[in-house]
Amino acid sequence: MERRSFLKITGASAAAVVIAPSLITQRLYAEDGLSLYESYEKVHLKDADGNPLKASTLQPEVNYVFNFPHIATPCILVDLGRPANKDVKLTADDGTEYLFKGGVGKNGSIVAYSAICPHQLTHPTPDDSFFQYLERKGKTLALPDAKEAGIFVCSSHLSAFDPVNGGKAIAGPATEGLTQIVLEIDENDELWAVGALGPNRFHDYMDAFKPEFKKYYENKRKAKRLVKEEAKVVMLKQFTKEIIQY
Amino acid sequence: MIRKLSKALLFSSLLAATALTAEEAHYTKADRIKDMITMAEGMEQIQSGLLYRCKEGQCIIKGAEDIKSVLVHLEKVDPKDFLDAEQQYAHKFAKKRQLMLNMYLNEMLEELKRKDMDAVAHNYGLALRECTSCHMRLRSNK
Repeated sequence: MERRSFLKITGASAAAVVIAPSLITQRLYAEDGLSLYESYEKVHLKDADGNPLKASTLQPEVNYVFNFPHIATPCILVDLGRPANKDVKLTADDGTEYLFKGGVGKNGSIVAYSAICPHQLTHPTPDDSFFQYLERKGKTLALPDAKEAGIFVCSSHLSAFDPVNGGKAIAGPATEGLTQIVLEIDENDELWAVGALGPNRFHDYMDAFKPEFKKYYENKRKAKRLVKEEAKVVMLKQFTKEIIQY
Repeated sequence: MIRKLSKALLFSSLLAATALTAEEAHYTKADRIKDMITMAEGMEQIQSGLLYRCKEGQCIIKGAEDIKSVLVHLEKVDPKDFLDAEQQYAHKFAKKRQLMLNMYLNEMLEELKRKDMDAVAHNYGLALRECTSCHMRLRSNK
């Protein structure tokens, strides 16, 4: 390659990076300048029979589980039965701000969050789940004085998270909120997972559960693969043998 | 003949009674303390194996096996026997920690066979985190 061509290419690349740093980091910054959004290949959510999951068929306040963005990273999808708040400003531990834009669906009540507790990475497995959305009439030791629940609870160390306000940590030892799984609904009322908003511990999670991945996914390499095209959604009580909630 | 049968029956009954009594033996606070000391010493052994010279990782193996022997024992014990009264509701959490600790120790031993000391240290750290996870929760070790 000639020197002139090399310099042209280098200059063009540098200019592109300056204009859009996300070209290098793979992260897309929100239009309002607040960050921490990571986009992935769009994944069609499907029910246990392989049919596209329709938003209107979700039962209110029921935990649905699907894996995204990695094959081994569980998420919980729930129709809260009430609208999630829009434009909630949240802050990660390192001070980075990000903006929760609300839920999807007719009432803005459908949300999804990574089911990996940011504290010590407790998550649902096929054998048990210490992590779930607790319906409003439920009781939890994480918030013993609360009049109503309607929160995500990690029963390992009693952290609680508010799904109406972007998964913000509201009780217990967790210092960061849940990673929101950004959803879209198409004209057929079908659900798609498109990205992850907020700080995430996917990397730490992949490092911490290698023996578990051997059990459920053969090895860590397979567990780490990104979900492509579609993800199966099942109720939490079908996903796991035992749900433990304190 | 009848005498022999009677003796056999008596012997079997005594054996059954002993076994039954052994299964129902209460796991005392003293037993728990003893087991926890064994586990703590096991963790120290593993750390010694990581920090000092230890032939063919024998310290690490011994430490892990000592801890696993206690875990096997704990599997047969009702966690309610060793949890304080106000924490007894969390017995499934305690069981989960035992499972995870065992998992990380096994993984650590596998990595030791592969002579991957980085991975051994990593799994030691994860095992330690299981210990503190339980203590943090059940002993209010904040």
